[in-house]
Amino acid sequence: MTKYATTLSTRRLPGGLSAPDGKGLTAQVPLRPLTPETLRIALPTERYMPLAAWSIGSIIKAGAPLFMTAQGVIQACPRTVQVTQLVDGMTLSSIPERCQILQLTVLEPSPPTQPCLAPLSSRPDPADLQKRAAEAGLVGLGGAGFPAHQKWSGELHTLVVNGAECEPFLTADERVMRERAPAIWHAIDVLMRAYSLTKCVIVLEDNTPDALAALQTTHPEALQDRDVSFTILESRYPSGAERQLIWLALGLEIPTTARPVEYGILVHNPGTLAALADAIDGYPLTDRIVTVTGPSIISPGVFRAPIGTPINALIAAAGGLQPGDHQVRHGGPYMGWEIPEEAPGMHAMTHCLYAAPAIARTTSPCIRCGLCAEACPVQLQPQQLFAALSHGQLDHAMHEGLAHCLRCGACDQVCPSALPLTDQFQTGLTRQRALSDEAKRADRARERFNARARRLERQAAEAETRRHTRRQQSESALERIRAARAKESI
Amino acid sequence: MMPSALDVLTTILAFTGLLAVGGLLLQTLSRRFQVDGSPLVAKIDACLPQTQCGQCGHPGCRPYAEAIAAGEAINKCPPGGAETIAALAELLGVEAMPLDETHGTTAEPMVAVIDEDVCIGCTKCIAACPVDAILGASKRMHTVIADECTGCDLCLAPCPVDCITLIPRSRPANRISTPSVGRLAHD
Amino acid sequence: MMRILRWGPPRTTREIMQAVWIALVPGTLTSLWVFGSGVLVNICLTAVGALLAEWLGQRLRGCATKPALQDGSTLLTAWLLGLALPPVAPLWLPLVGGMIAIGCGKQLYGGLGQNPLNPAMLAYAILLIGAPVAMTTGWAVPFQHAPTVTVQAWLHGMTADGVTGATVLDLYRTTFEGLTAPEIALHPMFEGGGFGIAPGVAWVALSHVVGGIYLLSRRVIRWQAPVGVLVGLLGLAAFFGIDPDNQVPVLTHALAGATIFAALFIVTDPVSGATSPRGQWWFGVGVGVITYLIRTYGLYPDGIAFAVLIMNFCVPWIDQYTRPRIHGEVHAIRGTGRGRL
Repeated sequence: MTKYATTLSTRRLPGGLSAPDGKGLTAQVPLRPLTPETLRIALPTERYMPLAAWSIGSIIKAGAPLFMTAQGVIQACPRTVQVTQLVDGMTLSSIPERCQILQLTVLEPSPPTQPCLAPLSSRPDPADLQKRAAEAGLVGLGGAGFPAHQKWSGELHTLVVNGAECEPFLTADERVMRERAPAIWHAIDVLMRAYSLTKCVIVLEDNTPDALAALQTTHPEALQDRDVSFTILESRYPSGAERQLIWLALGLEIPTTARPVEYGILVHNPGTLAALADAIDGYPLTDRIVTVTGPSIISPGVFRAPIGTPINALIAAAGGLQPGDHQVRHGGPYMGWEIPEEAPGMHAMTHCLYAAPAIARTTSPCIRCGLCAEACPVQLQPQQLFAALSHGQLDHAMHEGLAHCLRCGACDQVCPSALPLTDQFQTGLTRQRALSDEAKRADRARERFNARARRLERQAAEAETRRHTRRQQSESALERIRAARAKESI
Repeated sequence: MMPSALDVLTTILAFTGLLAVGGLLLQTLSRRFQVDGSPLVAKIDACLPQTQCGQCGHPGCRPYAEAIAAGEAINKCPPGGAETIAALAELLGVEAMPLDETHGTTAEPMVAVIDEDVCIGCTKCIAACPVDAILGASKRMHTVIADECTGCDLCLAPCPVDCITLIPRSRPANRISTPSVGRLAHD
Repeated sequence: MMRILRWGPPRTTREIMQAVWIALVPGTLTSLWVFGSGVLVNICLTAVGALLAEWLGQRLRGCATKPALQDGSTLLTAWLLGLALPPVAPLWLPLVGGMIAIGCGKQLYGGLGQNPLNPAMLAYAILLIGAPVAMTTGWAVPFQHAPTVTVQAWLHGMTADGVTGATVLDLYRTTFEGLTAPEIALHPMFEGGGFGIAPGVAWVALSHVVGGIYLLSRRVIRWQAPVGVLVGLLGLAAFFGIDPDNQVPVLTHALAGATIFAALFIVTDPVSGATSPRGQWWFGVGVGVITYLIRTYGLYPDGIAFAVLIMNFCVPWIDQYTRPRIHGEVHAIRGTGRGRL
């Protein structure tokens, strides 16, 4: 039926977890559209430019531009709404920052029905595509949220579609591949032609046969003559991490300090590709597919929800939480992070909400058993890093490779002493970033101080020269006068 | 048995020779393996926070670095605080000491903000800024380039209308602690 | 109990310790059969000393005593030391040994996970230096015991003939000086053996192998360290030991003394050993080589305790140079893919 080569990857991730998948909870639940009564959109913490009237009571149409971020990405208004208020809050990121939250009352429950942007031709050139991605608010939907158009630069040759949703319980990407296979193919086609990509590898895990079938049955004529292939990975966490995926699918090891595009490899999440297809048709990114799951959710489900949907509304749509003490995590059980109840609404990167009973772990001292090192997908020695960080030796931890840590949490899962390893690493890296920022600031301040000192010196010298010239001039004038008077007196 | 004069002489000569050889060796090695030839002042300057605030009594970080190199105390930098003192102590091989609080106390990093409605455009703050982080012209409103401001507060005093204030430089709040992943049942 | 018998890698620190307990059972039972009840008395007394020291140490350091006593590590150290001590030792020896192991070897450094040296081996070494007579003459002659005989040996002092004697390795170095291999083989120690095998101690060693296989299969230990010890020690022994008249034969090196016991239970201690697989290999090789050197040229018949301690000192250095290559370290581009390679 298909002309595409389907190969099993022979490479194996060092470490990682063969985790229980938990995807069965939501894999077969029908996709439900969800429109909440209010939206809570967190505004960027960096500089941004409002593109709509935000005064209280003003009405914004569905699909109308809301604001532009510092990276030039325009966020569209997901629904026709009325502005309720602007409040202070914290972002939904793993390191929450102070931000402002735009509260909107939804007036019309449907997403934009007419194209909000002029549809592009089926063969858009790179510049148009780049512009469109930015104005349609296209960011990486896999979790990193990197602006899509910024990836499309340099000499690209390979497109890798990251359909390896390795984290347990997550089904959003798989659902996108099942529901939106033609759109994904369309986006692949457009990207391959626009950037003259020679190769496309669609990477899936062996536990998502439905997604594979959906993609294989819908392959378009247009791509028949292209080098498109499927690579199936053994399902193992975290094989879907970008660098790990490239290693498993292509055998290329991308340095931690570089981005894959620097090596000509473009990695996209299937959700991003589906959104790109919509953007080409003129629809900005307004909705995304979210899995709401976990042992504490009464009826786990998969929802198509607008950006800004309050976390509570998502959980309520999934039947709410079981009675008892629970924690809600943004993202999956491993890579996710606990979010407070007053969190703003979901953003474009919210692929999963996971709720589980809150268990107090009792920790014991590290005995260097090395199970964490066996689980580490980048072959760090977490026990050594942990020891260094607990003794405050950040430099030593960096020397031991802390910067390579994916924060995937595999070590946490196997640690017999139940130590919060990943938390410690995250704290260490945050501290390191703060220190290096501080160092950069200091360097800049030093430069500016020296530049100013040089300028003041130069100005003083110039003033001195001017004074000197003037004095000379006046002296020579006096000289002349004296000479003249002397002549007269003779 | 008394050692003969010759014995004593040989011993003295042998030890002197040994010490001389050892001394020469040490000197050669220390020259040969001298770490990083950059001058001391630059290294000291690298430890200082570059706030250029002058709280140490010198007109900037570099002059203070020169003074430290000439033997001044290392604990006169309030913005750097204990970390800077520790770094300097390690660099210079001296004992770390508590901050000399006559020069001020360590506070969180600040940034200057000009109340633009009040500013009269006198340019006095522009002249005072040690890192040229204030933009403006005579009779025109001034503004602080927040990214370049070191929060030294030197612009506060010259302002005739007191329109400059220091506010904390916003920093990301700490990650919400997530100690309990709630391990997945494996069995 | 079901939790203890569960297969697969341990999920708690306590489970790790319990797995090692289980692995020690076959060797301990065989030791009882070969050397008599003194083994059990030793283990009980070291346990008393060790638990006492742990409790006191935790109290003095202001830490909770209950979790520390319950994590099973103290008992494990005591058990290991109990097995390493001579079976017919005076009663104070194991008691003091347990206290030294935990008190000096562990609590002084800050408790579980903080000790740079193996506590059991530290105590063994201190006892060997401090009480050389008790430590070298208290070895029961294999199978020459009844429980009462062992007790009599304590009552009548250390010289009960036919009950206590030197270890196999000791015999080789002192008593057999000048004898040829066939003459040595006539000694009752080697009765029923051959190729330098002393059956009594060999049975103990083989039982420990059973425990070691259990630990390996549950991924509590890795193979690198034990194999490293055997390669280091037996490689040298095989290379230099072609002459059984003057050299200790390879199989004696392997199956007598504490070789197997230490290779599986002491060198694999994660706290004081090297941490990466490669590091553990070199750690093991180091222990094997130093053990051979001490056994051949040193003052002590079995130098494995000193070898372990010496290698413990080298651990930070070994860890520094055996860190695995991190995936994504700079200059990392390898592989077959196209691109800027």
